[in-house]
Amino acid sequence: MSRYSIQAQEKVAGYLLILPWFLGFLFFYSGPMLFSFVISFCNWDYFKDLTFIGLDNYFKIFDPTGHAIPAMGRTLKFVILEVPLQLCVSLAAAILLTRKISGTRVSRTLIYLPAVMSGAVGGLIWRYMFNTQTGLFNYLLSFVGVGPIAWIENPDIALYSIVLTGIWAIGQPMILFIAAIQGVPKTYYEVAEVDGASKLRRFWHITLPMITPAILINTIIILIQQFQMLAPIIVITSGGPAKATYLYSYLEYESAFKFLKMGYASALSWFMFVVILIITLIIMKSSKKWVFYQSEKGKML
Amino acid sequence: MSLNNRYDGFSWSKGFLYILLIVTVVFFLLPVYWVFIKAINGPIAIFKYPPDLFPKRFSLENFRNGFQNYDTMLGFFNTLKVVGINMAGTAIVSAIVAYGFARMDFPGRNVLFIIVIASILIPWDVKVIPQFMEFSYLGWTNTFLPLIVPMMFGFPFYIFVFRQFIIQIPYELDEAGIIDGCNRLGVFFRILLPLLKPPIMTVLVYEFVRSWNDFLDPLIYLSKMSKYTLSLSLFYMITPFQMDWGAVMAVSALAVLFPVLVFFFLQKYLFGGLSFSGLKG
Repeated sequence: MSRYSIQAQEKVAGYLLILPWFLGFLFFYSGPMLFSFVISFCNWDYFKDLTFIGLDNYFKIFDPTGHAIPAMGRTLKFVILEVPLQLCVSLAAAILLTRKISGTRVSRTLIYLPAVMSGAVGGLIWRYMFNTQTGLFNYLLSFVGVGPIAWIENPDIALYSIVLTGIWAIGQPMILFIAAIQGVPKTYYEVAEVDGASKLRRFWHITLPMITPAILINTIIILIQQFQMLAPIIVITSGGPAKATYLYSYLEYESAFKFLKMGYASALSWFMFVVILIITLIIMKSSKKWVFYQSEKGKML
Repeated sequence: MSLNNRYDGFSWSKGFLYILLIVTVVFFLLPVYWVFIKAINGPIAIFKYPPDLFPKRFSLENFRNGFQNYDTMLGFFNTLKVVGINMAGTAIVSAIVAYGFARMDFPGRNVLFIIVIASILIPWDVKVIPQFMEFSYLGWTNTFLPLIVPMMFGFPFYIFVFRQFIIQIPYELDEAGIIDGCNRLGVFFRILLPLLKPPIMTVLVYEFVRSWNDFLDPLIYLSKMSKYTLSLSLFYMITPFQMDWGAVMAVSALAVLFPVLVFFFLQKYLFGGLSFSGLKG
């Protein structure tokens, strides 16, 4: 068999092997997304009365008297609180779990555990523990003389209570941070120790710069997740009280699946996509200034 | 200065570290502990105040209520069906696709692989609305097809995990197989597949947890009670009045128990996935 035909064969084999993914990408990702882009310029109430209305759906999003802009405002507030919170808690947990003490392996598993609860189960448990009269949280707070707090009934507090539940979902970023901290070459610390650097300085000048790639990845993953945070809202508050937790993702969910306004919902989802994309690109762009790569090999892709 | 602390950042005494570790673990276990305690404590304890931090009685009445008054059993079996099909299907297809990306040389391969990775990050909202229109048009609502069919074309994250593992296997093994007369699929099934046990386990564990916990997709596509999955039947136990929190806690405990067990016994695959996915420093 000639060399050429083996190469040609390999090309065909390659395309055939990745064909399932490509078809899936066409049918379930790019195709529907393209379709929804077209639909976002139309009025379409669940498969009837399809009419082209130009940019009206998008004007409706930016209408200051509408629901979308306040909902996006709440979502931005939520994301701005939740992302740093999850980053800090997961990094703190990772630092604790990389100390040279025993019991860190089992602790790692136990700290991860609440992250395997589904949105439905997690939401129900939070609802139960947030109960103002008999809930666990208010009971524990009563020991220190605080409360009772109306966690999910007070419109001024409800959004912060939802932010708080995010603490328990840090399993995945924590594992990434642990792997990153353990990947820092030990020789760096040895040299710094010989030079008499304090532990705080060693953390600040060695560990932190060395794990900036993990910080970048975790920031982007958490950001994208939190923008679309929906299941706990559906289960815990349904957007209430007084629209305090009526986040943008919940508006999308209601528009599409409750009111069946497919055109408007498509426009909402595309606006969200653009917002996430822009913020992600800004972070990526800024990462050149603060992310430290040891070598080309250290890069993720 | 002791050398056993060499990669530490802060100087805390060990005793303080242990106390901090215990407090952290207790804090994080609180919700999981609470659901199990409340599940086995009987209906009387549900709104007892002050609550018992440690169980004072044992009763399976909540479980009886959860199974007799609600369609929990059906939801359980529906979930098992979807989870089982997804685990088997997506693991094998993702592995085959990853084999193509890792071993074949064809024009456009790198660009296509970047698209695979980018599609991991596509927000759920953006694809769920068009998918809903598509699946409704196909008449797939109130069937399990919307939960299963997309997974049968391979899942981007799993393709990534498999591909990162395969590129670390020496190519000489493939060549030996080709010389011995295997075709490409033969090489994959006879030579590579037996070596892929670690990423297969990783993908199976991930897919079990993902599929078992899936709540939003069933919520959107399934409205017939006979099609409820476990998380959905749990969600519809919420009622404005006379909600049976005891039964809810019992069914929640059941819904949490399986991922917790899988996670506990197979966690080395969950965490191990990182070490060969190239994300570890």
